[in-house]
Amino acid sequence: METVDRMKSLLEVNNLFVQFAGSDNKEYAVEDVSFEVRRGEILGIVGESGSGKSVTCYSLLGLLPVNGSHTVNGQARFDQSNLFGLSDKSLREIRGKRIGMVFQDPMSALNPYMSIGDQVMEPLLHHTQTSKADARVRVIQLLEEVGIEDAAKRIDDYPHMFSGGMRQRVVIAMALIMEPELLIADEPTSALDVTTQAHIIALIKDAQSVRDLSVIFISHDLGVVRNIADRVLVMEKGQVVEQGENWQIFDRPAHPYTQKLLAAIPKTAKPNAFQFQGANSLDLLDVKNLEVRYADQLAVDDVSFTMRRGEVLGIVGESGSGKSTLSKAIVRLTQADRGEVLFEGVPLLTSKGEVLRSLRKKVQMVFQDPYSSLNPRMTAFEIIAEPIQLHGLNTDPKSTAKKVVRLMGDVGLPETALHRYPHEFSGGQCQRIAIARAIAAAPQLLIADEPVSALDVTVQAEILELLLVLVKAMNLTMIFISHDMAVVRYVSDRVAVMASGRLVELGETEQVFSLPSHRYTRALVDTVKSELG
Amino acid sequence: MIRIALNRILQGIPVLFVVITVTFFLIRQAPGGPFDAERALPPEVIKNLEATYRLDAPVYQQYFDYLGNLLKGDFGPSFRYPGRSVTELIATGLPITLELAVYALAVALVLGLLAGLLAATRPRTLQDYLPMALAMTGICLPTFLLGPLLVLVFGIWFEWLPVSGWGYAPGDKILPSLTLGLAYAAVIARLSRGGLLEVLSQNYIRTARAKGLSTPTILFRHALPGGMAPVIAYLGPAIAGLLTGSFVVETIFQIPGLGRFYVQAAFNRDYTMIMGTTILLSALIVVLNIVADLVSIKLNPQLRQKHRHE
Repeated sequence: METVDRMKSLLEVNNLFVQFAGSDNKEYAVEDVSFEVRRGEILGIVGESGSGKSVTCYSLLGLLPVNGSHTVNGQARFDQSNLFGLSDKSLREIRGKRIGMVFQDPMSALNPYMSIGDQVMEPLLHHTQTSKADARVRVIQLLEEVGIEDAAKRIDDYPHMFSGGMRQRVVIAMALIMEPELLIADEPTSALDVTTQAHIIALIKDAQSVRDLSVIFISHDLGVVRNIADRVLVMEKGQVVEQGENWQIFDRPAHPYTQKLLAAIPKTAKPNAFQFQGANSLDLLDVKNLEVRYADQLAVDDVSFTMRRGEVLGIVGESGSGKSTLSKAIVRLTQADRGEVLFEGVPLLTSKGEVLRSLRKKVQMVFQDPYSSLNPRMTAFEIIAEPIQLHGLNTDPKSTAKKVVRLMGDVGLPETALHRYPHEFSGGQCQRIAIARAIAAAPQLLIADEPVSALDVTVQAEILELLLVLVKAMNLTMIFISHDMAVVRYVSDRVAVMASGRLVELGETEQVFSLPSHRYTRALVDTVKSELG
Repeated sequence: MIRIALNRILQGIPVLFVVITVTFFLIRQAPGGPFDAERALPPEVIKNLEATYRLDAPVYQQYFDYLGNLLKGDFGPSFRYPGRSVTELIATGLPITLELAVYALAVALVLGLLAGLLAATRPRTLQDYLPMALAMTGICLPTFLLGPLLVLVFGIWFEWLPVSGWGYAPGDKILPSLTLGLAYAAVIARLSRGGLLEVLSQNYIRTARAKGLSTPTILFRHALPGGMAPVIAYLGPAIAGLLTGSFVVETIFQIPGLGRFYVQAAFNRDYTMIMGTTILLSALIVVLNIVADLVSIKLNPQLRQKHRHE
């Protein structure tokens, strides 16, 4: 009867406005957004946090938080239906049945109290008259298709028994079970490791081509969107600043914001100005056969390396590879079970009392989540002043205050922000405070554990720049931990690759990047190269 | 599961031992003794009585004797009800107290969950504020005030319900059960509201909505299991509280439960009776907390697996 017109749009959104009541400013979360999704295409929506990309999609389906009151204006047509004119009941018929959704965090998107089988079959039981036995057969089939091995055995398992990547496969199966026409994937790979991320993207691509699905793929990650999308929508502050074919956006970006976004992705080797010069400088840190055990597993397995003063060592690896544990063991936030760490020749792991205190002062850390690693009840001033007072660097309050102001300037924060609390700062500014705190004690070794992974790409670029400038100016030595190969490449002189607790590769960054020897390193490097296009 | 249960019970034994020891020596520190009365008995009578009940032996001797008897399951004779053992007396009172506690628990659960559910489905509206304000009042009103108030309103003004007794007149169980249960209903209302609101803000509820499920389905199938966790954890201590709280209610409504014996025993320095009821109640509290723990584990797949591996 009906022939599918390839150019006919499945979803058409015109002049969409979304406003949240109760926000102090009268700004729109989504402002005058218009776009269409054609049948069988993948539309990528990119933008930084707060750009309104998720809100746009949630508002179409009535999925914005029930309790926060909001107003939605505009037109949205899905196939023949006006989405904003539908009754709650008719909208529910479309949601979950004709439009499937995949969410960002597979850890929290599944109900921990229900088996995955029950959760995947739920839409089928709810929207159709299928019997439970038939639904089970269908679920097993679909779980196999999305790559859950032994699906028949695992169907009654609970979400916590699966890894993040596997859970995301379950969520995808759940979204596909009604054979929807449109799949909305909201940051489906952002919470996953690089290699898992590649699998999930391949899976979504496969599902799309097998079913001739239309897909909206929302992501902050330009590399991922470049890989998957046919057409791309760029959003900033609730507005669409640019839309076009994949090649137009990535090869000939017209809007300054798109250009800025693309420029912020680290694509190059470490800039020459920041290259490590002290080939003859002395060893600062010597890690020998370090081993950390959790329960009966080796989290860090016989790791050894040395660092010279002024050098930046990047450590890459997936979650669970032991890279954070390694850094925690070096600063003794975690007890090492075996091995030795020499800092300027002094054994760090066995020191006590005054020696340990002076060592602690010389080694400082910056953590991943800038919000939760700052005490919400302390002002920026108090946070930065604490290590100065703690290590007895300045007993006179006046000179302490002076020093804090200088540090704020060093990390690019205005003096006026001195007495504000962490929640009054943006993520990037919080990370600047954390960096100021870390350098306040004038350390020699800085350990940065995923310092930019919670940040937007433009902010990330600024923080990386700041770290490089500080390392050079203060002659710091830095261990830079990240899952992102491109970022590590931009920052590090040498790179160490960790997998299952072992250090599987260690070498000059560009050497490792051009000739990766370990299987995992190759996968990492390939991802970076494919995203660079 | 059985291993966890055994493990917890083993942990409970030292608790009981401490309770027994402390109570034993504390009540003997209290002034007066079981045979002091308004009109003093002749010294030789008291001496005879003390010899009969072996109260003339040194206190530590009495303590070890008592522990020995306890191991044999003997709570000893009551000092105030000659010829009757503590076990017998408990056996007459306990069923009534338990019955009262069960009704009160039913009141607490039904009213509490209903109020919590109403409030959580429409937070920050009248449907939330009204039950929560009532709940706050319920928490603030002590039973010894609430009981007489209910009696005044329903017993004396409206004359709808009997004001005392247990099983003597139709409906005489209603007011005591309400009096005892309402405060717990209030706590359960607040706990279930909080638990549900917490769960309703979780991402997996958004997933459920994205599936096109109806609101009741989301509420009952997806939100309730997680939202009830705080309520279930509270049930152990709550039931223990109901049992001890019933003493006050039994006194107000003249109910011949365990509470009456307990209160009288304390006034009369009926050492063995105080010990018997205290031990019984502590044992119940320990056991009920273990049960609440086990149910919490049973209902949470993640905890279930964790304990299986232990």
